[in-house]
Amino acid sequence: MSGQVLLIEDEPNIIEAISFILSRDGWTVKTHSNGADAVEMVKARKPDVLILDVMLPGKSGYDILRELREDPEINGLPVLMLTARGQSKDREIAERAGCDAFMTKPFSNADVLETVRALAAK
Amino acid sequence: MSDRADRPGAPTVFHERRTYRRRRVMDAARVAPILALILWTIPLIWPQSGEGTVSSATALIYIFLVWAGIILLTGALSHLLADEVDEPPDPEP
Amino acid sequence: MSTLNLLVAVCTAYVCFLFLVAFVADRLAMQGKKAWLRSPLIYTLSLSIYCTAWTFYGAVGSAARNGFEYLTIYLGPTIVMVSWWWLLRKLIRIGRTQKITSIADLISSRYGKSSLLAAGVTILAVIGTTPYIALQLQSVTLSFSVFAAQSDGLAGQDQARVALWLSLGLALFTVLFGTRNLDAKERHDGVVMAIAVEAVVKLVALLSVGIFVVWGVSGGLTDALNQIDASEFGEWHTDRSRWAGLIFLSAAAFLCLPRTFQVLVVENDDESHLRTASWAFPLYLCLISLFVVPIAVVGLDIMPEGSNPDLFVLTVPLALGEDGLAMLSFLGGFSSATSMVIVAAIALSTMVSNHIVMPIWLQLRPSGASVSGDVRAAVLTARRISIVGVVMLGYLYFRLSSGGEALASIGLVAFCGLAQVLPAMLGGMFWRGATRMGAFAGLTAGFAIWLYTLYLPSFGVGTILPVSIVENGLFGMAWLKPDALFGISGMDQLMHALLWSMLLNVVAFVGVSLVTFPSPLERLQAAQFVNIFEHSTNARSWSGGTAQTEDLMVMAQRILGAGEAQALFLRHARRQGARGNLPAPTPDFLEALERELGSSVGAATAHAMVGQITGGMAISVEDLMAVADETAQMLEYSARLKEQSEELSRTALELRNANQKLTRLSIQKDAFLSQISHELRTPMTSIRAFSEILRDTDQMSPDEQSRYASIIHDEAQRLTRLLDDLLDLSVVENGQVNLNLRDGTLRDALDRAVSAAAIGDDGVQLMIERDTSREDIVLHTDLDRLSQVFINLIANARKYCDSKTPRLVIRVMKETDRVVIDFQDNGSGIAPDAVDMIFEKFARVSDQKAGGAGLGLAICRQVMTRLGGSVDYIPALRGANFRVVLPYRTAMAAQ
Repeated sequence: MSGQVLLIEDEPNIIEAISFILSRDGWTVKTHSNGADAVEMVKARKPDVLILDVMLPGKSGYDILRELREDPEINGLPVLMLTARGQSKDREIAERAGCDAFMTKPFSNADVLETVRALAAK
Repeated sequence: MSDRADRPGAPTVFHERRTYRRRRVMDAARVAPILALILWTIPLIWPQSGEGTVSSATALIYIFLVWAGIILLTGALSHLLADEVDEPPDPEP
Repeated sequence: MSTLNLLVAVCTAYVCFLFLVAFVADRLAMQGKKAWLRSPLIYTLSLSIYCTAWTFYGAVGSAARNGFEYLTIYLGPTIVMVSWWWLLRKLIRIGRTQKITSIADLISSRYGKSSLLAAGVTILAVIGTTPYIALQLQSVTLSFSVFAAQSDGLAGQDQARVALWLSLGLALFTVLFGTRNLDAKERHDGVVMAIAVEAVVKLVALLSVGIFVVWGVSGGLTDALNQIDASEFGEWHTDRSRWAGLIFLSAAAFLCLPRTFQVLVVENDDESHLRTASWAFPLYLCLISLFVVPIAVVGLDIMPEGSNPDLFVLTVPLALGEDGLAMLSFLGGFSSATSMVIVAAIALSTMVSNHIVMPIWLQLRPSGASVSGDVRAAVLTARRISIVGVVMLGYLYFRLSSGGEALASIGLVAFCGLAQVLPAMLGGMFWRGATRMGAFAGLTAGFAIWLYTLYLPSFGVGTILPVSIVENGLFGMAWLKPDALFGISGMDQLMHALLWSMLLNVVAFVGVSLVTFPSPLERLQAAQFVNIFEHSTNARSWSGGTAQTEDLMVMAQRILGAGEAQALFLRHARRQGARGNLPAPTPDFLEALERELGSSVGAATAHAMVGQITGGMAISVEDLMAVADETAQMLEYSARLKEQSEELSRTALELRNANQKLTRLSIQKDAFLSQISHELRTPMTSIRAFSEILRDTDQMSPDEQSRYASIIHDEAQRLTRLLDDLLDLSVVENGQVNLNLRDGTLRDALDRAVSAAAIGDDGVQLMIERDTSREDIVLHTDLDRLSQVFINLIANARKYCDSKTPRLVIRVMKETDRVVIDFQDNGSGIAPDAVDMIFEKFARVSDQKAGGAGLGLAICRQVMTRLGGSVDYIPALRGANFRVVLPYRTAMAAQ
């Protein structure tokens, strides 16, 4: 598989881990660690898949996702949400905001890879 | 000072009686020093010479007996006046 | 070893014992164990300061010379004590509510806080007390020479040396234990305890000699009484005027002597102690005078003709070979003398420094109290110098009068002089019409007549008063002869002086009071003094508004000390419901502040100081009349209603605040749970991801392998840290933590914290300013826990200080009962709305990531509470300012 994945996440070690896993699988991984200008970043990069953390400095992942869904230019972009807050209401909020897949940290590397592949294939 | 009896409405007969007793104890405490003074100035009217003079030993015993009496009286009064604000549980001697 | 050397040794040992008693009592008081230090018994015993060496030795002498007259000296005070219900209770209540520091302060307070009256009474007290101190020195040297006569004699210069050493020792003791606290209301626990011990020694000594004489020498009570009847005493002969006059005089003196006023009113800790003292002190007086006549009779009987009856208490046991008893008796006399000098010196020095030195000092500094140097230090220095001055004045008087006969009669002369204060004092307590001019006139008249008819003649005719005046009267007018005023002659000199001085004193006092009109402040104080039991609430005398609270704070800090002043201001700010730490300068607050200051520097000085800052002595007539007016009751009722409604709205406000805080806390708590979950899952995510990578990936370079392993390692550590914090908090919070108490210096604890926390993981170095010289304070506490608190505060400053060049100042201040450590950085501080949340355990100062879970300050607070101290956020002009306070108890080993 090949394609571009944009990873928006602020924890350097997690960025490194996901980048490693996806690069190995042949993906081009771009990363960004600030929430405030994340929407512009997505528009500029036009990735095939977006991986989005919830707790980000500047703007929360939910807000970013809502903005993306309202923007006709990129509202079809497949989005995988990652969160470290494992409460069930977090999943609800994420789904209502319009995410395609939702994963709770800590995740299994294989699951991430599989989900990204599935999302890209849509 | 706690003039409870003068407060309208409040006192019962029993209460009034206690207050009355207490106020008389206060009166006694005020009078006690005058009593002491009078008893100790009595030696002034003892004859200084001639017949009927009082012997030194008697004078000494008299003064110290008064003293002891005054100490006991003050001790008792101060005990009865123990709680100025709260009514004593049993002011009846 | 000669008797004299033995005597010196016993004396020294006894003095060391007294130092120890005073020291231990002071220590116990500092640790808050006041209960038994301040019992009714101690209070009663301390009153025995009235019985000096003059009464210890002199009573027997007086009995031997004048028969029963000596009893009057004890009967007067007995009557005063029996009058506790209507007299002493009122006096003590006034003393407590007005924070009276001395008799001069009482008079000055009552008569419109007049500095002139205070200075006048002070001078009177100094003139009256100095010879009295000399008398004590004389009695000790005389008793020394009695023992010396047994061995190798005591030369005149040796007597002087004994007196000098004694004065120096007493001055040292008084300075050490009498000026520890500035606030006279903080009381001298050490001194009072020592006085109480001496009181017991006096009583035991005199009783022992008495019992020995009655049962050992005379052969029983009946025989003793027969012996009295058979002796020169024979029948009842007592000068009637002296009997009545001396009872009055001793009663007056008991109220007016500076030293008795000091223990009776100033050192009184609890009004209820008076109840016990009302009968216990008469008992003490009764016991101490019980055996005087038997001792005198036996002394006259067995001692050779011409021996000094003043020393019978000592010479009778010696003559009968009872050296041990004589030694005990000597200690009794020694106790009487020393305790009198100590308390008199404390009382006089308070008066001299408050009413003479401080007013002059303030006058000499036109810039005013608020900007001049450290008033507190000045007052303490003034007081110490006054103590040494007073004692040395007594010594000088002793040397100059060369211990002659003149001294022996000085006791009653001094009584008569100080009794001149009585009309102004009683008038002030019971008569609202008494005015300052009246008091001044009465005191002046009484003082002048006393000086002219009694004090100056007491030096001997021709010494100060020329013979011509004594023989022909002043200006040659016969009716002005000092011993026969207005042509009435043939009276006893003392009674003559007492009669005329008191008569003219009272006449002038009442007369002038009737024709003069009091100032508003006087009327206010008059109402407060006379109706002290009705006016438990305070009068308003200050119309504030123009007062600058900051200036008052600066001044109060200098006088009361920083900690106490801040506590006082904070208390009033809370009571007023103010949000900040400074109360508004309401009349109530100014009144309270003035009282607090007054207990340190005297009412008149405090009034002047507050007046200087608040801009004039202006008192609104309305405020005054509210208290002085006869309709005060009505106003009081409406004031009470207003107070209640204020109280209600204050409570409502508090409730609203509490509710808001709870709501915020609940939200914070949800956020915290979420936060904790996040904080735990984030490192776990990295650990799981990289361990799977390590497991599943083939052909990894060794570099990559070790890098990923170390990421796993670091993240595992981060998890551990977080869990440690959580556990730590729950352990400390539940009080399960065992404190590891040991000694160490504050400096070490700070050093350790600085080296652990000043440089962050990111390498940002925090500049830290310290004054290590002030940190050499030995603490007995859990130093590891304390360091943990310091580390937290320093690390917080490093993380949150938003200055370009972050800097932290650590300031250590040692106060009387605590050690204060301030941590102040130069950032923008903490937002006011966040301040009351930062110590809550679910709180984080900001959303930004700072590596912690918002537990640090919560842990700090719990730790400090366990250590008996506190940690608080103090709003400062700039930067965040945290204050750690350790109680003195833990810091005391440092002394």
